[in-house]
Amino acid sequence: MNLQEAGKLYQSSLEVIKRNQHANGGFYASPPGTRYPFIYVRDHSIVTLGALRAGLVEESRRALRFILAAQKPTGEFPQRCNVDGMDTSYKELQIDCNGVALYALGKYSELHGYDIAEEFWKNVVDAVTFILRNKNDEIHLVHTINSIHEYPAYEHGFEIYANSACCAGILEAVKMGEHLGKEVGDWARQAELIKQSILRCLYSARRRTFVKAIRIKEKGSKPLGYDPFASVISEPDVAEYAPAYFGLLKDRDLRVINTVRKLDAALWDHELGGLNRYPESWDRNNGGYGPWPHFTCQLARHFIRIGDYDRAEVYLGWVLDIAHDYMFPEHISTIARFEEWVDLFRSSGILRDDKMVMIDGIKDHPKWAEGFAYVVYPLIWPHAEYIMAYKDYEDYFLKSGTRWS
Amino acid sequence: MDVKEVLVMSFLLAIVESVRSQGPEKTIAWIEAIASALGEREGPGLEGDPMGGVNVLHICPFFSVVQAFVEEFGEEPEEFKVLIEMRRSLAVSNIFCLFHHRIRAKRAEMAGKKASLHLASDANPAGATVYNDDAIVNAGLGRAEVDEMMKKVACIFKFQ
Repeated sequence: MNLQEAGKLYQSSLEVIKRNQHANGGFYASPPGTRYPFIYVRDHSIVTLGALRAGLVEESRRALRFILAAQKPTGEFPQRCNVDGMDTSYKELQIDCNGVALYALGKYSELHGYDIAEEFWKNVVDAVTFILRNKNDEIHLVHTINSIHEYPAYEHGFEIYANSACCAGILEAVKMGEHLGKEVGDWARQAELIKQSILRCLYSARRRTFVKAIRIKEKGSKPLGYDPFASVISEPDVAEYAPAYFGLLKDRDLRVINTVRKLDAALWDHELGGLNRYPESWDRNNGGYGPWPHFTCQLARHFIRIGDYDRAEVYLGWVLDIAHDYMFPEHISTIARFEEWVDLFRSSGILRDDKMVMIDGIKDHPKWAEGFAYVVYPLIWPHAEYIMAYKDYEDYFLKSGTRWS
Repeated sequence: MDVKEVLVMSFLLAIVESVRSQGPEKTIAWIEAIASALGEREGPGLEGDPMGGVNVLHICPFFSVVQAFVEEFGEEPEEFKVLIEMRRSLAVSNIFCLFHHRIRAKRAEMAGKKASLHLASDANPAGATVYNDDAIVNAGLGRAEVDEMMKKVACIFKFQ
């Protein structure tokens, strides 16, 4: 990996994040005038984590105050909101947003003090209460309709990213509560129950990997086996790294190592490089199937943390290579795959108008002439993941001079 | 038996019964009171996809339910038609528009908006566009512009 270029990309990522924070504190998912000019709670919270890691303390403070104020009266965080914090969601429940918002607040508090947590303590209580209201007491997992891919057909039920985020979010709430002298014993017990269920029910000992989701239609179905959806999605999905991403397990845990090994083998794109999010056959491959820089960065961090320098280089090097003008797309594809996707969606009658805007954006991008479809450019989230991956790389391999492998 | 479907059907049948026993005015007030309570529960929010100064819905989230009801009971009940007619000038297309518009308006009101105008919709069994001409003028648009947008969407509204 070209270290000089990697450093430039890090600096550019800081600028991209700063430039895409509205004065009110919200981080746009993509800049005004592009595809996602709203504040999506999931993206915003991860970008806040990236800002924190980069030492952008004031930006992180503003981001947290913004997102906590955007919470709905029910305790749910919306899918997305406008720059004034008004709910503009168009999709059903995505409970991981509650988890990631709490998680980001907890990480900030740990580093820079508990004043925001104290000021917004009622929001923290409401957020945790909302999560626990959606927990099934037979299996002790949290029920959701959408999760990280916003794709109910594949995520409706007990999904691993949502459960890891919610569990980690409650654990952060427990830490904040303990620091502020609040009674949080029950939350700690509930979080532990969720964690144990993730390790027991969303992990396949026979396969030695985590699984994506237990599909269940109704959160209160009892017994679960009779729920009309009752089934397990065990295909490789980058979300299966979530237990380690949210710190519920160490990267060196064998369950994590084996899961990532499976993801690497199954989802590494042999034509384009980079990591796909799930198998192509699950479809909903807007703009054409292909690898995503933010998921590639996530697993780069895993390889860094276990000291697999060679694989970390491949992952982070790919991310560096696909950046255009030091900015990232959501994902990339080939022209052939792009055309296949257009054809499939058009003939199926599900090609929406807003997708036409995306199609124009892809064809107008300078990389099209080189044979690449750059889908949603720029997207802010991968810049935050890159910041965190680069800082890990710097800490593990550059500052200490250690080459682990 | 799909319990959620049973509850939706119950609500629609309750509307029919209410029009018969309480009259249309009281029924509209009852529907709007329920919708306001639900809007309040959801909290401040601006529904729809912003497009050229108005907000739109690409599909009506309630229409398939209305359609299922009509298919099951043969035709749209007279009681629905009475209520829809009473609010026709507000671009009400189906019985749920009354309900949905109030939820949307309540949430917009909580978000600091003074008015929620329902300009047009076509989510009715005939697929015919119904207009709220006052709202269209108020929004600074003409019927031709609304018709152009309605080729692609199911419902247009504006927050002020």
